[in-house]
Amino acid sequence: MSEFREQVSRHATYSSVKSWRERHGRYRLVGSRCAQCEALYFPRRPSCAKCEGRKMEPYQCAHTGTVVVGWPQVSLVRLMGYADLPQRHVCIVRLDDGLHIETEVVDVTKDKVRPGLRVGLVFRKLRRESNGNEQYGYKFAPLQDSEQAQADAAE
Amino acid sequence: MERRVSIIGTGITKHVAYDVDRSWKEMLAEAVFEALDDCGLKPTELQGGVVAYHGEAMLDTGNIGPLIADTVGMEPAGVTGISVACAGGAVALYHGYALVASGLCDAVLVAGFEKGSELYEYVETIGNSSESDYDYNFGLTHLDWLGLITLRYQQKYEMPDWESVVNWIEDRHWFARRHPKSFYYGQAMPSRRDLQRNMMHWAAARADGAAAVILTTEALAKRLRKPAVYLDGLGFSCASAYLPHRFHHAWQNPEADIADSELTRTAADRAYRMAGLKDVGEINLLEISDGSPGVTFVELEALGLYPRGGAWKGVLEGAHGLTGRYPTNTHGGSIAFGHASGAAALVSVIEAVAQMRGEAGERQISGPVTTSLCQASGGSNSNNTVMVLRRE
Repeated sequence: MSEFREQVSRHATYSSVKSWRERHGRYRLVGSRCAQCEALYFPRRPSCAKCEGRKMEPYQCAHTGTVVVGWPQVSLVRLMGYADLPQRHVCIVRLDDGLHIETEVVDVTKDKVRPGLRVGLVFRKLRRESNGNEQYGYKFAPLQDSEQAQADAAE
Repeated sequence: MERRVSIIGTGITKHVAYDVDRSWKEMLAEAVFEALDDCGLKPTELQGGVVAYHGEAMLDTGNIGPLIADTVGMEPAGVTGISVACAGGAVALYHGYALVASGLCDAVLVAGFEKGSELYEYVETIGNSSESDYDYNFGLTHLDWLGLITLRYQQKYEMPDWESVVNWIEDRHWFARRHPKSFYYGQAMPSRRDLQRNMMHWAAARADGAAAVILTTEALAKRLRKPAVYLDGLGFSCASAYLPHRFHHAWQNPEADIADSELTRTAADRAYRMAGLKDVGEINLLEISDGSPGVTFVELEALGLYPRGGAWKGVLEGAHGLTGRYPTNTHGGSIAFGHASGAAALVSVIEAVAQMRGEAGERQISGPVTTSLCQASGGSNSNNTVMVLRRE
């Protein structure tokens, strides 16, 4: 954990444009789909690793998925801007369209974070950037029964 | 025609938590001068260099090539600085090999170092050596990768407990206490209970340190004082640095999983073919990345020593200690020798050279060590190298 619990200006302070440029990916899980072979990707990318196609379209990934593996983050190495959060659970989630992402699962107790847990996207504040602006993005939370039913119906 | 390349000189600094008295240049110079003295060459005889570090932000200094050429007295030779996460030292060796093999240079410096203690925001600075817009910016760290890989391995292969992991750590600490330059040298051996309970033992011991080797041609190596060790096989593979991609490129390989190291398999295949290594059982010594024990198990399998999910059983049976079937990381590995990012993979190679020359003291493997295998991985298993070393 950094000695600076509040974000301070550091040797590398980036423009918020860098975050803004990724807003679709960070807010709505928009990745890429190859126009040629329909391979799916997250995060977005400029070419297809499967067919070498260079025409990629925006693709909104599934907003629900299943935990493949998760662990409680070691608090000693929290990054700046994340030090004051309660226990964080870092997971790899397999989205319902087959893509995998690494994400924090929130609103959950340690005993619930296990392979097979059904989760859905929630929008949360991430942290303050080193330039002082707030940064937002996706996290995942366990699906409530109603959401679970909705997700099942959509499939 | 490609020339055979030999490692003829090696040097390492004592790895410590914080080298307060010295700058990174002084630390690196110690390793380089030790390597030059080891082979009897002068700095001005070096015709090129490749040096790995974690990146400009780590030092508050970029453009390190000219600084190094000047510091060690090898100017006007061209030196290239590279940043390849924890595999940096091995990747520097890969490129240094190319300089000699191609005929561009006859004698080359390959080095790596890290001085992370100087930086308050150390974890921030290593944290973004990945798909940082989608992991570092979300507060996800390297330790998360190591933890997720280890847990996934344990769950997928139904490891009944953590005893194999503790075995791995205990062996590495035993070796490190027999290497005067290791992080833990001179300290009491931790108890089995300490190793089981203190999670700080489950990951690499971050350290300040530097390592250097000198490469040259077979013809020059044979004129020098120590037995030549040859780099006979090399493989280097890269893929996405976003950890979940170890899964979702599954359309390429249905077996793809973070509990496997597909890139190491690719690099190993190339290195084995290049070296004409027919059977991995021919090796006498193994040096591999052990940022965490779970990652180690994955690499052991990818190198072909075990089927998928089988490594933990071999570790549990003692196959990787001094008298085991495959003595491994006999310097103590990143877990106990200490882990200086740019240097770590080179420290492994230097240990292999020491064993092949019979200079490893209390750590020396019984019997001749004629073939060694060195593997390194860095940055969420996104840069992987495999090298086969031989002694005649």
